[in-house]
Amino acid sequence: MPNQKLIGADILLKMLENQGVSEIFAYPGGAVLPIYDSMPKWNVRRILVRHEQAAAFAAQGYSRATQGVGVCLATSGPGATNLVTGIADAMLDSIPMIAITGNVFKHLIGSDAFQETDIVGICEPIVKHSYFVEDVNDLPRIITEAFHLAQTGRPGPVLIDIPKCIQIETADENVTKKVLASDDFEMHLPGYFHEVSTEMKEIEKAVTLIESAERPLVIYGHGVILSNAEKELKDFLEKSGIPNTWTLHGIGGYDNTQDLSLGMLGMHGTGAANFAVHNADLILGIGIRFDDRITGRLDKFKENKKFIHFDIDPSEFNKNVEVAARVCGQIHDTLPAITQKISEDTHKKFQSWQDLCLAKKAKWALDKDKPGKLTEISVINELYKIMGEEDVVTVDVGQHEMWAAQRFFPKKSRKFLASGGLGTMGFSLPSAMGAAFSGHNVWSISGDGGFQMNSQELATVFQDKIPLKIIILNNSFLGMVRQWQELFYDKNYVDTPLVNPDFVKLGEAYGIPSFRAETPEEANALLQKMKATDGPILVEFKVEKEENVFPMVPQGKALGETLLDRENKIDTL
Amino acid sequence: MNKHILIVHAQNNPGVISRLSGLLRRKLFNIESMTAGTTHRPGISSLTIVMTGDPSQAIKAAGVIERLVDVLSVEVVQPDECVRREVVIAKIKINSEADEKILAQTEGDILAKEIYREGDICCVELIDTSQKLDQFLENINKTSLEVLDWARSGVVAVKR
Ligand SMILES: Cc1ncc(C[n+]2csc(CCOP(=O)(O)OP(=O)(O)O)c2C)c(N)n1
Repeated sequence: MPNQKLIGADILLKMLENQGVSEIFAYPGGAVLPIYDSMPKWNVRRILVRHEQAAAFAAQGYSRATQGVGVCLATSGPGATNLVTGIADAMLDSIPMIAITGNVFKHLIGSDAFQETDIVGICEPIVKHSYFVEDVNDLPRIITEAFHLAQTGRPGPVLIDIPKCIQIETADENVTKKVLASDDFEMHLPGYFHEVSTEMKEIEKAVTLIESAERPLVIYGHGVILSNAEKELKDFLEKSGIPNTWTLHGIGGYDNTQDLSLGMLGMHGTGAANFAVHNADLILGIGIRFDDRITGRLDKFKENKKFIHFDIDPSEFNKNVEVAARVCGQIHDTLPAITQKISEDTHKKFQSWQDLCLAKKAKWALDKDKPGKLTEISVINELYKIMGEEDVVTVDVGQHEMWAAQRFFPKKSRKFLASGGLGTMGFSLPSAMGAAFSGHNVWSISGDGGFQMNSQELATVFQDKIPLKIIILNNSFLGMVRQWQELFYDKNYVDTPLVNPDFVKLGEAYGIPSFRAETPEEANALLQKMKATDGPILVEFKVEKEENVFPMVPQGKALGETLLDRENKIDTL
Repeated sequence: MNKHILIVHAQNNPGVISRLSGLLRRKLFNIESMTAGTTHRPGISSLTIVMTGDPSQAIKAAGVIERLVDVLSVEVVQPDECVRREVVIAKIKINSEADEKILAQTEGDILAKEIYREGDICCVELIDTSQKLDQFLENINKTSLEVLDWARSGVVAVKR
């Protein structure tokens, strides 16, 4: 389009194109109408969600599954505030995402105008950075910076709030020309240092700590995946022979079917993993942030051990645990330096510790299927069995999430997507919509409670023909909360039993082929059917109602006190 | 409780003060004062934050401040590493000849300066360390002078 005048809305969309964005998850409204008006001119596909929260989760799901940067867009006021949960979720999980909001005309800002909210102010604590656009000619630089900030260093969400007047203002000719020519725009981020340098002395300290340890343990997490350090982790683990465990977001960071892979750790970690944490004398936290869900009671977690911490964000060091060595930087750069320096026979030294961990792993196996009964565990086990290696699973929040996290061992990263830090119910379905743009099969698993937090998105799935395999594990309860009520509140089931809609009819009402399984046989047959179906399909699994997730570390207890079932604790050294 | 001084340099973008103060609030740091102003470098502000808590708190605060995209640098500076000053302006009512004398005496003792007078109202300024300001305010409170109002600026500091 030569010698054209571009308004802010066009600049935005063309800049998104220039950044390689091919779809955005969006919902219209008054304050973004100019953007919608311009949309058909540009090669950015819109996915019309049915609630802005879903747009934010879909954008995240896209980022999580593809390694790209998902984009969501909402109008001012309620549209913008509906994004908030999804933005907070992205922040806590360090997910790159761009959230774009319209706002009222600049001359109305501050006047409590119709649908005016200070979304930049509201989001201040939950974004990596935010922009309020004051001049249309700043837009290209801001968009360039936003994408850069979102995906470099420790990734995170960036908000761009654009008043309506900016969207309709004509940009300067030279700016327009550059935008149309897909030229690069210079960034101005003098305070942003995402390339942190690793101090050699910390690497050496780490090597000495490893070589003098007797019972070392690796806990790896999201940082490994965000840093694309899967191979570097593998090399390190194989050379060092250090037993390993992982956080919820570490799933897929390493082939966790290996012998010395002890299982996920933490509140619902395996007996062996929690045993190893409790008894280790050295912990290597690789791309983790020592969140309370994995540490349990913190003073006990820290007792009698030293820590080596690998992270890209210097403010993570000494936040929750005091570290003996702080290895700052991209893990794919820092870890190989250590792998190289440790001696070839390090792993022999840990033989007795390895044997001990392996014995515990064999002794405390995870709960099995109950013959003849349809349980969450049986569906999850069967799904894991039939899933393809490239298939992606998104889980919601609750019991099913933990059962799945304990039982999924994907060979690759970015295959198991969960709302870890914020723990947002309603995550699974919309994030699966975004993940579907990875081109892989996507299975969305939700509980009956969480599914209803974003079930309106079935309309999006239908309209935009998103080929999701939607699993509802219906235990007729807010299962995880019910479990706490059972264990800690004397079975006082206040507001956890759910009177649910007919999920099959609900799915059908949205035009999605929907089925119900009530027995293990029906379940297995329907899972096969799901696998074979190309378009969207929904299956409700009517599972046992009052199952509990074990192992479990009750809140405030130490990992050494992990319950294997209601009566039995793990033992410790 | 220990006091710590943080000197922050930041891009003078809209919202930067709000980002900083919001950050310190939600991480539950105890902030005694925060001042901000321009520097010799165009577009760059300097902020001085005085906080209380143990030294590790100050280091943590610096760590999270550093994360802000607008922030160019942040340093926890020890008292002997910086020069710092605070301003107080006290508004005093002079009720009698005796008051005049007391005021002159107090000003002399503490090197405060009269900067405004109209009728029986007088404003006195003192520019010094926070401790000296505390002392000045305590001293005039002990006299019969009627203090109508005062305002303190918070500390500004530059590294030596
Ligand atoms: C938005 C939101 N609200 C409330 C909660 C608290 N919560 C955590 S798990 C849970 C129950 C989830 O029940 P369901 O979706 O049926 O899954 P299940 O635990 O049965 O697998 C609740 C209410 C939450 N995590 N997120």
